[in-house]
Amino acid sequence: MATAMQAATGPLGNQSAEEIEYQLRGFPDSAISSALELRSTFSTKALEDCLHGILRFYLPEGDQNFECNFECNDTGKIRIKEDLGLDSLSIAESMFKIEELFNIPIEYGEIAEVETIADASRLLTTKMTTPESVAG
Amino acid sequence: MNQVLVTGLGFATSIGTRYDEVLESLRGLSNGFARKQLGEDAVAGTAGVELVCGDVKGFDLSSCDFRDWRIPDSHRFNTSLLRCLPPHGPYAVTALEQAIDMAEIDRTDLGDGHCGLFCASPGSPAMTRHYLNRMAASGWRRGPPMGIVSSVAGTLNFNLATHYGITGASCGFVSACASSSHAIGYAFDEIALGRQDLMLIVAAEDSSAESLLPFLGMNALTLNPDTHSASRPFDRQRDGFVGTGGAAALILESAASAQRRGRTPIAELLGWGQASDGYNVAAPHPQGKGIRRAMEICLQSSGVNARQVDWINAHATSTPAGDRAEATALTDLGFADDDNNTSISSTKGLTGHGLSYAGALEAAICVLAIKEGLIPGNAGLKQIDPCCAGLNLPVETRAQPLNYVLNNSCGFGGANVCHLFAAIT
Repeated sequence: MATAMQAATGPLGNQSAEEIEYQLRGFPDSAISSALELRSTFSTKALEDCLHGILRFYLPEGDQNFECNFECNDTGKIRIKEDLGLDSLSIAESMFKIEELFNIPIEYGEIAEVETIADASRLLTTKMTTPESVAG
Repeated sequence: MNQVLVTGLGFATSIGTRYDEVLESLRGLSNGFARKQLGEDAVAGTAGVELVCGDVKGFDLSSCDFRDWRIPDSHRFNTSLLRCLPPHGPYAVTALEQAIDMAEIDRTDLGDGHCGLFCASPGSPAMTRHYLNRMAASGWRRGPPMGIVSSVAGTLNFNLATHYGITGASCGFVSACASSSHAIGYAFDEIALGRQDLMLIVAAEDSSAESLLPFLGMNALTLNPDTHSASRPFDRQRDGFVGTGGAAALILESAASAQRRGRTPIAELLGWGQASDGYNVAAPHPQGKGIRRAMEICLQSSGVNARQVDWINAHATSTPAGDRAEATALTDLGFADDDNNTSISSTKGLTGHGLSYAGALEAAICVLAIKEGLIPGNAGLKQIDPCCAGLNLPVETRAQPLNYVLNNSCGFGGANVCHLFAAIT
């Protein structure tokens, strides 16, 4: 739960730094640092970086092409299936993690329409600004 | 029929997570037990119960979230594999990797269609509970997609067939405490019948409250707090088994394949037998009818008689009824006769009862005993139960060349399996 000392203006402002670090333990540092940034303020870049880091956790290991796509492309334009090689179950698992982190329900139909990291970022941004989207 | 050889062994057990550690434990009769508090996390508001359990050193797989696991040799694991595994998965991979290394199998050959994988796992009830809790937290809208493949009974064969790229046979076996012995038996058949050149067998169990504590309800677990006497198969004072998680693995290979690869086999699997009690869902037949028949079939199919058997690694788990039934079957088959010199011991006095992976662990110990020329003693045995009169139950481990070794396993529903291993001549 948030404390009086915490800035609660960002989309993750209702969680302490410790809670976020615990939720994202094992994930790339970039996911954690950008999630911590999202506690105090919202920025599309921080959100895209956070999604980028979370998706990276589910990247098929040992495939240099997908690794390269992660490093080489503009983050927002990265296509989750084609460029990263995430299969449908990995995408569903990553979305479940994102739901848990942001406490925002995402429907299967909405996931199906997400092609790029920017698409995922836009979907989340829309939901964050729609109060009834936030899970109770 | 093709000759079936054993070319690799692997251990992630309470008495060692390497071959040499297991050997040292068998020689010195040092058990792998510790007192553990079980159940406090499984049921909110309870303190749990302290029990003597097998302790697989170096691993901490008590969490259902793989990110919290501590695994020796963690370089053998990647995130893609770990996130689909149950808590006993790291035990299984550790044991199987050792066995593959020991057999010196090129991992790129595992997917050529000539290699199969048989597993035994009861699944992970702790993992099922964990996923249900996460689903409930999402309002039952969504669950982790890998929840099924990391928790149900086929989890090991699903995961490991994929991980190793197996294109030959793959299957999981579920017959409770005879599961992995069935896996070995049917793997023997795959090679003997020429269907596969190589078979990987791996079996594993969680060390969780959900896996072990239900046996308390059957009065099958010992409440003896002394780690040195809690597990004492064939002892008059025995009062239940000591449960343990862990894993064991074996590589079976056709003689032609081993020769082609230039591998010296460790032992031969001559044959196996199985038979059922047809008696009770949980209790063994009082005269051990099924295990007796399984031993008879095994010996007959192997062309070996009871007097030729040097050592039997008994199933005996340290429960009053189970040990008595097996002792009766052994007596009826002539192993208590004056002219029979077969030694009988249960290595569960050292390891604890590994449930579905017990058969594979004890088969691996049989092969190790043949290779090293030793008969493990009956750890914990102080006063021999009168039902064992005439049976040769050594207390201390002794050096002895072994030609023929039997391995017994018995499971719920009266499922019984027996293997016969032989020295390479």
